[in-house]
Amino acid sequence: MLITETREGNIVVLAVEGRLDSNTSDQFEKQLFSMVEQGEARFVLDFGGLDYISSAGLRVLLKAAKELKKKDGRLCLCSLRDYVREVFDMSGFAAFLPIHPSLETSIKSLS
Amino acid sequence: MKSLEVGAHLDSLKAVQEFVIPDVEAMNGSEELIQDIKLVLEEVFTNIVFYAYPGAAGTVRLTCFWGPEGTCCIGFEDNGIPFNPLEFHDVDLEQEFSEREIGGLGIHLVKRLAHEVRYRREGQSNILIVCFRID
Repeated sequence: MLITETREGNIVVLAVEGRLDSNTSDQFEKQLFSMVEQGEARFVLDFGGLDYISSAGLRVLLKAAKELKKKDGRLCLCSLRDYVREVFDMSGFAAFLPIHPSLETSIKSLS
Repeated sequence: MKSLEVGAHLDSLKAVQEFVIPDVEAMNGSEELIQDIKLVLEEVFTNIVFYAYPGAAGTVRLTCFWGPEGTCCIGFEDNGIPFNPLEFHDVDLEQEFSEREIGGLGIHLVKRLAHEVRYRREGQSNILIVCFRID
């Protein structure tokens, strides 16, 4: 898994590539939560390069969404591949995590 | 039927997937089916890793065999505490997200993706078998 961090104003964009599974989700959680603790509150997770997600990855997203809600922050996802999208649909996560077709629309929604 | 014994820890996950996936690829399973199987293998295996042997080391014995009509079945056997994942409460997908718990999500995905899931307790062993139709 590779995470690339960029910024658009006060929005943090994390592009996640590879696999978000039980072996990599801890690293993802640490990176995401260290930024939440530093006061970052708006995140776009660009999953265009994400090949695979399991419940271990979903667990981190649920935890982050709950934490950001408390802090009046927001989190959205973009560019999901079909298979990853299906996992979100099956787990019901698509109902509470905003999913956008592109990075541009994600950023617009948080601006 | 072939079998493989691995330690019940996360480092074994790759070996678990490599034990099964090449056979499915050889049978021309679709890319989507291969993804489904990988996900089910991870969810079942990590469930055993986290819950079967609290505070102790243990092993998992995997078997892979072909059932009738080109069905690929994978068996997971552990000697841990009795646990039938099929009896775990269902995930409430309609629940407000702030109320949602992560527990049970992996099993929910297994039930959705595998074509058949069977559990039995045999002596000191939990045996879970998941099957997929290779169309």
